[in-house]
Amino acid sequence: MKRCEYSQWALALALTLSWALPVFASGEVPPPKQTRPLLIAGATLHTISGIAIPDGRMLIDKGRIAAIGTAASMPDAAGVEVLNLKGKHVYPGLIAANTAMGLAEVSAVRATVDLTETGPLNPNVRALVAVNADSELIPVARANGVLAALSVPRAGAAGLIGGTSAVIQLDGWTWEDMAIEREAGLHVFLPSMRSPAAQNPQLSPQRIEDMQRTMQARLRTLDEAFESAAAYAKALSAGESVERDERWESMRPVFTGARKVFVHADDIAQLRHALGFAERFALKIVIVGGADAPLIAPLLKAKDVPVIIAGVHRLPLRRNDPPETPFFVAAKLHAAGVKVVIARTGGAGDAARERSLPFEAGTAVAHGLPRADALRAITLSAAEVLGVADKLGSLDPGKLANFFVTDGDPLEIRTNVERVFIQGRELPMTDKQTRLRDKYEERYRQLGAERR
Amino acid sequence: MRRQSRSHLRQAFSRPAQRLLSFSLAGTLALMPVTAAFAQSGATRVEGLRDNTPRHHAITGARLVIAPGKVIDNGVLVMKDGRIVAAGADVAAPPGARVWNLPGRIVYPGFIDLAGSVGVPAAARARPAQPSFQPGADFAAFQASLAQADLRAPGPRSLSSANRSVRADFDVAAHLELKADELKGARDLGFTAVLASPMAGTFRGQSALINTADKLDAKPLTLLPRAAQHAAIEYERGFGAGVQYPNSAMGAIALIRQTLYDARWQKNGVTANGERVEPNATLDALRPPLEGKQPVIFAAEGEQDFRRIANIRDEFGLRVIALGNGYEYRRVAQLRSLGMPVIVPLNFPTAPEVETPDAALDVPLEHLQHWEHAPSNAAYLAKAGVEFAFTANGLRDAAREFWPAVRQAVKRGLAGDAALAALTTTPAKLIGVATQLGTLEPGRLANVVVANGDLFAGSDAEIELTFIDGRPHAAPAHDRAEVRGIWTIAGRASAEDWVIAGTRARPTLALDGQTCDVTVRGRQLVVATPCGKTPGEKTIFIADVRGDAMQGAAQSPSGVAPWSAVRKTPFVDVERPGQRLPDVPPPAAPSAWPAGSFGMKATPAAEHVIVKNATVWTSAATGKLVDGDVIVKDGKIAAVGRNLATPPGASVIDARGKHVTPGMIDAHSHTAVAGGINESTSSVTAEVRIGDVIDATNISMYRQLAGGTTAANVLHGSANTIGGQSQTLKFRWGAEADGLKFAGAAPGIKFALGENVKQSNMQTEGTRYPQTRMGVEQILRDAFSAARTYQQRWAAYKANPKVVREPRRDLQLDTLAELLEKKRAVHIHSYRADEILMFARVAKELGIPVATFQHVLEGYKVADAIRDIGAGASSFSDWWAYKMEVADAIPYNGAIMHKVGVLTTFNSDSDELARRLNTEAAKAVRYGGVSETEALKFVTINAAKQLGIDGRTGSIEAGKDADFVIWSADPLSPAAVAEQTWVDGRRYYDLVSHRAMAAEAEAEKRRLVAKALPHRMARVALAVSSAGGGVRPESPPSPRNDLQDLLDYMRLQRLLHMEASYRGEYWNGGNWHECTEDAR
Repeated sequence: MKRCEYSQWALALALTLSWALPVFASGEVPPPKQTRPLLIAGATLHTISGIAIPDGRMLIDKGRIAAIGTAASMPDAAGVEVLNLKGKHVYPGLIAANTAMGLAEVSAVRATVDLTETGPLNPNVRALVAVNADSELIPVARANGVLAALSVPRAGAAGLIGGTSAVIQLDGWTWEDMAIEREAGLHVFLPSMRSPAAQNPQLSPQRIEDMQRTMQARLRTLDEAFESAAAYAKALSAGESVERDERWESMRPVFTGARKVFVHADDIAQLRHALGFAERFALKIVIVGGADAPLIAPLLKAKDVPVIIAGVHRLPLRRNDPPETPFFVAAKLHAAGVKVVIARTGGAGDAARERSLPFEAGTAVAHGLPRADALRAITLSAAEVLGVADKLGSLDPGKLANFFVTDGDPLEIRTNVERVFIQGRELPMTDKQTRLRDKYEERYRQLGAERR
Repeated sequence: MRRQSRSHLRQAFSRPAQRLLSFSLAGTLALMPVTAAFAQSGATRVEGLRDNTPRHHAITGARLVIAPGKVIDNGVLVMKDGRIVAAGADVAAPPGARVWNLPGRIVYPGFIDLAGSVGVPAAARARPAQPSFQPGADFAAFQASLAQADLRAPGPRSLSSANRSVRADFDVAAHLELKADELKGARDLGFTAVLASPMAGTFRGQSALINTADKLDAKPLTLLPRAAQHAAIEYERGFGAGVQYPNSAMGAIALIRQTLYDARWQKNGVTANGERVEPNATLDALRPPLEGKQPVIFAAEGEQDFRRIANIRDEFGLRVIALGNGYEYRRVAQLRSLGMPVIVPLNFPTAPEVETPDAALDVPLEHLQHWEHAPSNAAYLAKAGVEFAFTANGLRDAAREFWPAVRQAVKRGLAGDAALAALTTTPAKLIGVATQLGTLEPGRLANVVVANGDLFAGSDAEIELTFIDGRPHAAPAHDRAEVRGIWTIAGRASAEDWVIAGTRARPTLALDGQTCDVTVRGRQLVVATPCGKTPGEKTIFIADVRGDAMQGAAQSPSGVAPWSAVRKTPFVDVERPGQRLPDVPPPAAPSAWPAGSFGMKATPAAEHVIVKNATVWTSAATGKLVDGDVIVKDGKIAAVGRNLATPPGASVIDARGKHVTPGMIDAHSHTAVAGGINESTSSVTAEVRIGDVIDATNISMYRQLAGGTTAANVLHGSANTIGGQSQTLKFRWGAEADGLKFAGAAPGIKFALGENVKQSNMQTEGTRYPQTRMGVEQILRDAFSAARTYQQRWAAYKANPKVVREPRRDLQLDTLAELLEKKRAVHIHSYRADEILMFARVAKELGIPVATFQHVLEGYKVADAIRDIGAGASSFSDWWAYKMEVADAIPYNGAIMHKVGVLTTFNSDSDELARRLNTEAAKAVRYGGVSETEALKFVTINAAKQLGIDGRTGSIEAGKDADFVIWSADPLSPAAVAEQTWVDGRRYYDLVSHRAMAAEAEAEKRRLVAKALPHRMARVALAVSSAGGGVRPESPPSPRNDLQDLLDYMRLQRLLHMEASYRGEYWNGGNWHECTEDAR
């Protein structure tokens, strides 16, 4: 077994540089492009798209997977670097499908958060251009096998259209390097449509009225935005001379089906509203959230609307619900034939916790989701729903060589992620946290205070 | 005059059976000089003509309800000069009396409302409980209204207490604001006396019992000034500038206790070192309650406040009457055992919103259950023997709702006499005027209600007349003609007779197959035929009704003609007075508590059981036993080992392939706290106690049992440098708050450092000291200096109690002194290495014990300092980067601290994370390579040690409480599901019975939704018809409106978020981390 020499170099460089860098600059250095073909050998290849290949072989060239097979079908070739990973497991990189990655650093410090533009309607803001390639959160997520993320511009308390998200891979000098899909989807956030009176009979009629009126006004504003954007698109295609409107211009692809609309919706009324909304404007939608989705699973299935579950680890929406209700959402949707992606709750504070994505899938497995489908829900299904299945999500020839190596099932907390590759380049397994660990372990060595 | 009436009565009550009444009269008369407030004449100088209308009345021909259960069918009631002088069947109407011949009427003692608002000045009325923000309104003004702006803080010129919510010296009698319509409103409901009750503040002031006669003059109306002191666990909502102590339920309780201690101490008049004690009118006003001379009416917001109130009552020996809330039926047994009388509102909820499946989904089961049970509340109380009085308070529209509600309660099985007692004898007794009010016995004040039917049974019985102080007051019904019956119209054949039916207040005329509304204004009848919306020409009749004749005119297109009619047959109500109405089957009394899903019907039995062949993670020296057995008996673990013999009588759980761990313990929790987790008005709040506000209805406990967590260190929030006292709980789900408390746990207190206490993450710059970490240290030093001085004062007193005066007891300093005495230990919320080190050094210097550093995310940098003072560390497994002070947090923190020798735990600080602590423990393996058995200790025995409960729980060892979990798989794997969670050898959670409970709750909800639906359909129809009137095409939002709308929406969201932080009973729990994300 021969290790890629540059990874040692990168590690050394990272350690050297780390203390000199500003607070929010990641110390990990992107390695250069793959120049020599690399053969991963000996490991079990969990392709996701097909069955796992024990003692498999995967040839990587120019950052992409060139071939997959076994020793029999893929003999050693000259000029190919061989990485023997006997006994190990190889998985396509995990995809975190609902994140603030790169947009939020320290959630309580406003200056470090670029997540929510002001005003209710921001279809034209693009997440990609604000992705901080040096975020300290990125190497931390990567070290657990999370190699790509959907960076989602979110709506604020009163917002409706957050903006246009981007799929990024978690390595690169700049956001341009990181971009997998620059404009992945338009993100719509529905106001809560749950009955305030039903939830709290103590509310005064005036308050209920307030809440319902504001909710209706929100929905009206959203409808009006789509009507306006549709009218704009129609006028343009009819050849009228129309002054450019950045907002409506940015929405044109959603009316042709070229771009998906991600509707963030949890409660049943929101979900139903989302489906009706999609029908009215002939949109291709994806549900993000989906707490109540099992209640209308057949409809989601019939309309072929996938669901990105925004957090398995959350509380039930209602006190009466059995405690385990959120844990079962994935299995129920899957059983109903709905395409399921497992993600986290998203938001500024969650960016730092995307590394725990596989454990959310693990909980879904404990509650009825077949293990293979749970893995798919954070890899290939995510890639399909995010529109990047040609590049990510499985170990298949032609896709980017973004994968990680473990000593076991990645859904298990005690499994170690040992190596991480993006476009065939092995990345350092260090981050700000390991540097701090190493620094302070040194303190105790010096103190001699450590008790073994 | 007195002699006169006495001799008159001797004449009247010649029969032996009535001697009892004259005895009681003698007793009353003997009391009269004492109860001077009841005198009816005054010293006021008369201007103009004197009103000398004789107050000598006799009611004849009526049924007299002398007292509950004591009825005279055809009796005479004589009132003279404001008192009842005779009542009975053989009493003759005195010749000089004005005679009211009222056949068919029922005469009741005047009703008493002990929670009235009549006469109470606006500023002392309830703070609006549900302030409503109008979009477009001034938000700042609205926020100001949230803080009790109407409670004026007494200024430095006042002798009252400085805290605006402590108003014990407020005397309603001295500030009566009498309004004719309010007096009339009470009177028309039959309330001849109301306790004008102050309703704002913690100590709200003293109420006055007043008559509701038609007089806007306090003196003749007031029966008993300063009748009771009023109190409530009330607190201000919100935080930041303008909000004053207390802004949490626990703060309110601490304030109430401190105030009562102060009032006791104030009495002594001299301080410990001989200084003069300042006068304080507020504290002086609390002396009568402390001496048992004045009752305290204590408002209970929710069903668990009764216990909290009883604790205060018992601590200070108060005489307490609870002002209830309508949920008493859920705590009937408790109210009985507490011996606490309660004033019960009749605020039955309308049917919850179930008309759409979506809304029905959102209606909590407990709301539906309450809708079903609420009208039975009084019946349950009566059955259990709990003493109660009714109040009209709490109704939105008492004039319409009160009597129907009373009758509904009677329909639900409350005896009519019991209902009557709740309006007469019971309130009279509770407020100490039983010799003056509450019955029609001679000698009582002439407060009397006359109704035209049985108020407690007949569906349309109305009050016609009240006598107050022996003066008649007509109610609207008194002058309203009874027009029902069959009328023969002059000059018409009997075939054209008018049949008028309906209710007395809303009669109807059946004519030509249609039902016309008949309008009755006093004695005037108006009706138009043909009725309804029938188009065409109408004839309108108008007539004056006197007895069985009416005379008037008919106006038709052909002109106006005289018209008259004679009543042939009087109307016979199918529901005769006294007759029981066909009853709806009352629901069975609720059997499970808390209400809603997963309530417990009984405490699970302590089982004798052997769990066999499991992988037992003992969290003890024995480590992990493969194929292990655990024997449980009498709530304890009897034995642990391999191949244990099955004891006789023990049932067997075959746990082959399964894993057993100790019940997990969350060393940092805010679960099950009611009314705010932070008393955030002050930097030092050591006096507040989480234990006072445990919410046993919080579903999070059940959810955590379902995740294998059995105990928690429930902490005050992190808003203050010195926060409140913590409470260790054991999740005995279904027990009330006291039953959840972990007896013998080490007393703790929450302190906090860093960003939260210096308020650096608040939206606006703060001014509260401290605003820096430097200031935080000084707050600590200052507080403990004060505590030392306090200790010394008490020591001096105790050494020489005869010479040295008793110092003022200060609950805050008491708590800090406990720390100095090492009777209590600190859980210190901390993040950065500098502050951890500072606190370690300061704690050592001050000699205060530190149980744990909480969060302690930079603990890995200074683990030796933590270890060296013997403190533990309780951390998140892998949280970081949510604020500046955790930018350096690392998931290896736990492992490093553990290796350095710090007793380490992983905690949740979250209702959500608390239900999967097992996989948090697994992160100590992943990040830092802690061994599996040591990692599990991070959430079991290590936490038990930190909380001082390791002698009882936290490991599976013989002799410990049988708190354990049976897992489907290796507990460090996300694949593991808790199948059974045992506490005290009782199966509190079992996956199988859990599913049955869930199914049961679902079925119950279906039943109740079906039951509620018809009650809602009318509303749906209404909504549809009003919406169908024409939908306006909405114009596109203009930019300005858009912005305004946006701001309003955001404010509303913020407000809702703020309100959510004051969670009440039956809360759904929050996904956020309390100390970290919701810090304020």
